[in-house]
Amino acid sequence: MSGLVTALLLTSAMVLALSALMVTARITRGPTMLDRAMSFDVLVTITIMGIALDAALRRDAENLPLLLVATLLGFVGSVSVARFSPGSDDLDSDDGGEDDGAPARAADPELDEGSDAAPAPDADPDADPEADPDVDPGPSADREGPR
Amino acid sequence: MTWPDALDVLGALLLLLGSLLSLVAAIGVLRFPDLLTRMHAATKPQVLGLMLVAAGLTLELRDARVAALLGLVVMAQMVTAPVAGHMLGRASYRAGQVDRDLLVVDDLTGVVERVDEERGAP
Repeated sequence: MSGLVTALLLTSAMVLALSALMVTARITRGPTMLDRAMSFDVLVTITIMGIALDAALRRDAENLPLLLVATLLGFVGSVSVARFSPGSDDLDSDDGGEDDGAPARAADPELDEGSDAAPAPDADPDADPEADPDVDPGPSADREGPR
Repeated sequence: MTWPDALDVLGALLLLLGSLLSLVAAIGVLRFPDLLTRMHAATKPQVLGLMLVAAGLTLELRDARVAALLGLVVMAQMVTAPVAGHMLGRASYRAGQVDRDLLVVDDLTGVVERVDEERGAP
């Protein structure tokens, strides 16, 4: 009877190894960073199952606190990647919060009132505030956030 | 077959079931085309598979302290997995990585546009 139990546990260990390989392939291929974060979360879950299988095979519960640590580790990892990934809410609020660009556009009508002969120089300041967030939205947003 | 043997076999079967669930999730994560569909596949072992594995390990070891610790692990996972999934999905949507053609229902676009209009700035 214990032979049957050992066979079942070893079978599930092989199944876990196969699924861990497939998730690792997705982490390698994953087109975006969010895919990798999500796949890493799945890999942490598979690791938790592996530790539980090890405890069941050895009839030993000394490694079980690792399960709690691994759970919270996977949560913190994927949430922090999602929070600070480019294009999340923070960067959107950065683009909106970059009101440095808006006063520059508000200054354009002043130029229009002052000199009618300078529409082409107006077009350049229009293009610059739009181009700058595209080039480097991150650090300026980070500076504006804590303020 | 005595009771401890039956509990051992039942626990091993539960562990095998949880492992098979993680295999299904791994196939889904590898094969699905989109982050949202991959998340749909990935959530299965994170909650149900972990619950099955915890139940199986509890039946194997038959210890009250092990049961309490595994219950804590399952509860922590049930609290944290929806938060992580929500933040990943929202980050993917706000980054414009969601393929609109693959969506059946899209309730978020109208909400985001309305909120952006109310705030005046994106």
